[in-house]
Amino acid sequence: MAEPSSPLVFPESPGLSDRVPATPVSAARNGSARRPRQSPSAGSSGHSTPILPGTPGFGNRTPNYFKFTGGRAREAEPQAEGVFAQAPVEDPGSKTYVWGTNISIDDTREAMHLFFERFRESPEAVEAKYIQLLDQVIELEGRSLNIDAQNIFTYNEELYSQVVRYPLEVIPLFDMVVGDIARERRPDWNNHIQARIFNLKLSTNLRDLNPSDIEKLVSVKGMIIRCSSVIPEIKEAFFQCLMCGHFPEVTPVDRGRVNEPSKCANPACSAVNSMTMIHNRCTFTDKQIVRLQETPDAIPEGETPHTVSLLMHDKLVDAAKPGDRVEVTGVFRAMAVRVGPNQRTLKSLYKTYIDCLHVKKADKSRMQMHGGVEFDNNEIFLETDTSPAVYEAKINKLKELSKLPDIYQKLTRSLAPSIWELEDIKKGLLCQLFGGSTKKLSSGASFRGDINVLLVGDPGTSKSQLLQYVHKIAPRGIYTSGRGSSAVGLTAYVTKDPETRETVLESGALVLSDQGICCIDEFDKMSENARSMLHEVMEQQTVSVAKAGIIATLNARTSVLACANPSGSRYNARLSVIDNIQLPPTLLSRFDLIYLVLDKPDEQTDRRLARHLVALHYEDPEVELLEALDLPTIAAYITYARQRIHPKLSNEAAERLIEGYVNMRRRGNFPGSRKKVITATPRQLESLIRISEALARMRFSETVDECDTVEALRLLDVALQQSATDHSTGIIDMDLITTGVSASERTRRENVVSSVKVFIMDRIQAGSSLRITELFEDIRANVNQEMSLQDLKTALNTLMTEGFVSVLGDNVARS
Amino acid sequence: MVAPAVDLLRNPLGAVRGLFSIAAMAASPAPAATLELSGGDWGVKGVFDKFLYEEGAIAQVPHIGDLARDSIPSGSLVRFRGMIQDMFDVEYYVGAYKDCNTWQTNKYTDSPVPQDTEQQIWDRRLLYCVPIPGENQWMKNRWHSNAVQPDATSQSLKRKREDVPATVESMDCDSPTKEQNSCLVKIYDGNDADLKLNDIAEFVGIVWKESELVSSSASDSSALAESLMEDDTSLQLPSSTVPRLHCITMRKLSAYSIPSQPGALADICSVRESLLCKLQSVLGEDRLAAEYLLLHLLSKVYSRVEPLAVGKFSLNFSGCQAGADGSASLVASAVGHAISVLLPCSQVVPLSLQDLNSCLIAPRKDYATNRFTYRLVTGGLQLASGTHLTLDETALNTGRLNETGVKNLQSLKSVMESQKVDYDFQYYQMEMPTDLPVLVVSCGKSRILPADALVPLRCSAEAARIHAEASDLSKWRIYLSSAREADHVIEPSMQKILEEDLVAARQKDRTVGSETFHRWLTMARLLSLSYGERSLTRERWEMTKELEMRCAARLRETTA
Repeated sequence: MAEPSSPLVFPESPGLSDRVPATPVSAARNGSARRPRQSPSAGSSGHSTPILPGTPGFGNRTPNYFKFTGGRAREAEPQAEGVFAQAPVEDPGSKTYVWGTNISIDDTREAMHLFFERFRESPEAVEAKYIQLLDQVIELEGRSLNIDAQNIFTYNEELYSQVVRYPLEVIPLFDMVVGDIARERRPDWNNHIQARIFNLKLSTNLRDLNPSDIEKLVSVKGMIIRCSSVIPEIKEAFFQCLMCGHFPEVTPVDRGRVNEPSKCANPACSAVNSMTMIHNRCTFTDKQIVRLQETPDAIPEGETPHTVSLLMHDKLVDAAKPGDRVEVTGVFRAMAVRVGPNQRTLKSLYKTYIDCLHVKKADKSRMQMHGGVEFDNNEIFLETDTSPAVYEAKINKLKELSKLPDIYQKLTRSLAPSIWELEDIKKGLLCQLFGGSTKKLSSGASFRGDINVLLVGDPGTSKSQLLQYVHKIAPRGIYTSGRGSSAVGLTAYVTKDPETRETVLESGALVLSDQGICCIDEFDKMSENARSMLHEVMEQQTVSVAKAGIIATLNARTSVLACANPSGSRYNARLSVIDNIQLPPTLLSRFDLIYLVLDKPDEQTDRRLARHLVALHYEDPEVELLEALDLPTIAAYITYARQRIHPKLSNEAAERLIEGYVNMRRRGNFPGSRKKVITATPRQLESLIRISEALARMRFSETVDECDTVEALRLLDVALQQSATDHSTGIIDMDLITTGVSASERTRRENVVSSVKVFIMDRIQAGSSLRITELFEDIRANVNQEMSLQDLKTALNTLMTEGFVSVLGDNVARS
Repeated sequence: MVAPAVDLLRNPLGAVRGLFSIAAMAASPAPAATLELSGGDWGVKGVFDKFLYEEGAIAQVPHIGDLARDSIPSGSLVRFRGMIQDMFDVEYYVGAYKDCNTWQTNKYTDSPVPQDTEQQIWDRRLLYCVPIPGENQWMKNRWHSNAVQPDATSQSLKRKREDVPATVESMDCDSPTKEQNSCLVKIYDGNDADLKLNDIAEFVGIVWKESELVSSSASDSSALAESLMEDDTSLQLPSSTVPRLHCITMRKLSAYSIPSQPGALADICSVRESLLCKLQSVLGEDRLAAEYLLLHLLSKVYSRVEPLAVGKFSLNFSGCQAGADGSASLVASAVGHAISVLLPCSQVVPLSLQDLNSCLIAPRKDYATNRFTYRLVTGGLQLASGTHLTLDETALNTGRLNETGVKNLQSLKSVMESQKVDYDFQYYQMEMPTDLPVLVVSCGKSRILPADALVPLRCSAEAARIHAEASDLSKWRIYLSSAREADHVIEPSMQKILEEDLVAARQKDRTVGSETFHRWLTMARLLSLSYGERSLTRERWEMTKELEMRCAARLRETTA
């Protein structure tokens, strides 16, 4: 019987105990039985202190080796670790084998040595990768060496399969070999270095673990839901005689049991049953039991998540906290449960757990994008992916998809299929999901790649549904409602931790959706104060906090998707967008695309709506599914594109962009106009670039081609036409967005001012004054120009700044 | 496969072992072959399927719930019908062991094995099943009348119980009484492939009572074993209260279906009319409301186009008075009772502030409390698809909702809007699709719970409890269940007409939006189903519009 313990901890391996380099321990005592269990009743030694009597059998902490001499198998004698190295020298004809296999210990060790000494990641590398790493470990007095299983595989497939199939026997060999090499490099090195193998070729799904995986090296992904407290586990026991004070060498724990000496070894004393354990001179290691649960994306619909216990040792204790997503590599083990103490019958049940070798924390976010983060090629973009092969297949599928000529249309169709029409808005949202690329200049200036979209529209036009859909497929993001959000709730706030009384920074929605999309519903109902916080976020992409002793700038590389109702709850076509939404122009200009979702009484659209709904209710939904991509596919597609595709502007595209931009600016320049209408600003040019990049990403294209820019121009045009059209002239007017006043309106105001000025010159003598209302009546009667009282007041204000008149209360005086 | 001449009913294990030894013998002593044994079931399922379903022996298999716990001998064949409330982790067990050079199987049992033997470890799935929540008494009787077991006294007892009014259950949490009738089903060979959470199924298998596990062997158990055991959910459910059923075969059931229907109904229209009259009297002689209620009872989600659940038809009766001194509203209890005798599963839930605030109704995992570690803590909303919910909003009075209350209302809202329940797994939420038709009974229009259709109730008489002949009741039940399960199509020509009508309606009234259209289309479908028609006709479409017009007129009057 043995104690289930980490395969890493083997008493016979040298230097496992920090102080005793080579403890002579029985290495292969029960080599005869791998499966057939030995009785747990350890009656051999007089007193055995049952510290951790665990499972008999499986939890063999000692590897079982067979020694083969001249074709006749005989059991290996209990030998010190040195045997493995020395055996061939002693007896050139004998070979030690892993029990039950034809894996020769010596050959394997040789293979490992070669692997360590020869493996280089690239042919040019001077030093072998693991020798380099080992040197580092030695330098830092480390205790473990991480070994990438993929490297083992590329170097020696056989060795890889040995590790995976017989980890209990092969991994200790790794430890020994690492120890040998360490001593070669630094002779005085006597610490034990654990070989931690990670990154298996095949990662198993938690719910696919089955009995055939027992005692194999497996790798599973999941989320930690509970950690036990740290359990100290005795490693070496220290005994002292109560009678004479003599103490023998520390007794190592042998498979969960400490053999208590029954008699004092001091010949002078020789007292029986006098030895007592001195706790504070024993050595202990840490142990922890952790519960791992499947991540939500691995759970089939309609099932509950599965869990598995993990056993962590030493350094791995507390390496991960509940809530962390991890990938764990370890040995899957099963432990029998006895029916009762000291009974020979077992319950037919086995408890399973994973003895951890290596824990890799996965980033909590589902995706990482541009920005300072370097991409590791091994980083898998979706957690459901189980193995590189599956991952490859998936990527190939996505790539195939991207080659479809109508992928753009297909994506558009698949976005919120239950919402009918609104094609262009969906296209805009797609662009937002894909995003442009962030540019960082060497000067330090950076340009955001995130595309902000605003939807303004009548109630009941499924804006919120669109928002919710985007929120669902966005790699990361927060959905908030403007009415319920405060400024700090959106950005960041400082609180006192109730336990430690320290001030801590809590992230708000925008910070939390860093590198994702922040969906804000009811944007118009947001408080002024909260909205003003958005200015910084939407252009600089940071949130600055300066309060309560904390001054910080947090990244908030967020795309904002907002939707708002017009101020009068229904859109008034006679007013400008600004008047309709009542949002400050400063904020409005930060949106790349502003769409008006208007409920126009149009028979054509009504008919399409009707047909759409009838189809929803009565046609086979399967048919529709074939045409549209399902949600996980789109999400994967977007994630992949955002991670891997960083398109660059091609020359033709750049030229086309310039041409398009110039055209847009020229549009206000038609004959007869006084060149005052600004139809596009540099902000639009930036938006154009971003949108075309997003469009290129949709095709997985590394270059932005002309077709992208053409479509980007069209999209921006559509959005502008809807939002920035000056209703009195029908021309796109960026002034509407940037200042809130259209050019034609401005001309009108100028006219009003000049006529008022003329009128006042006529009517009011210098020094005398007139009531505003009287003046207004007068002007109305005499000037045949339409004018409101408000217009007059604005005009008077302008004149006042010119110093032409002065307004005191209700009186207007000429100065 | 030669069926061994063993009494399958009394000694099923003998049969299993017999089949195993035949297979083991055939597999020769090669160790590799024994491994293969783990995959197959040596024809066990086939033998039992034939015995139970073809030879009709299922009727003789006692139901676990019918019997006193102690009267079932360990190792006998039993069945259990219930809803899957939770799925536990895979269990590893010794599937076969070598006893004196012959392989013995331990499948379908929990019996201990001798220690020093060669063993094979196999796995099985664990399902935690409970009696179907909200199942009405008549439905239970119908299932169990098939059983040979219940003696005269218990039968008469049950008959009496049929008259007991609809169970008014508050949304209580996992009460210990529920555990009493639950069952831990162990499933072999991946037979559970198409089973999902909240499915209803009938399991037939071997009941096993462990010789009570000596888990108190503290003297011996190591820290590791102990903490691993602590995680073991099944340990927290002692087999004395939760029997273990080693499932040999099972069949999935639907919450709508009624067992053993004696032929099709002769005259659907007349059945419909009689049922409608009854509903009318239940609703205080309000014909229009009765029509809506009938459609509501037939509704089910038949397709999902994210985020819509197409086919749901939740109903809101406004204008109902709260019951005197805090009791359930008269309408709610009358309707609730009527539904309970008509539909297989239903529940009446009074939405009182206290209930809402006291405990969560959405199921959740609670990792903190020790007792239920890793178990799903069920909530009032963990119901099998097709269970009807009547929410009595009149029970709600003014007061403050706490966090729990707000969450509960959100859960209810999400059920009504998209027929989804968010299961809280603490570190993440998981959406579980459900299909729970919801009827809201309220004073004014329910602002909290948005229903698909709102009908202001006009009672000209007191809402009356349903009283009907057993034969009528049975006819209505069959009528509802068959109409609910029927398919429905719409001809292309009719689609054109629908489109035209919808466009015209929208041109006339701009407030008519997609919600209204959805409602109309759902109603039209339900209406034709209620007449037993499988495709929409012009006549039914006109009727739908007529119903909607009358309802709209009534709404205008109420607001005016």
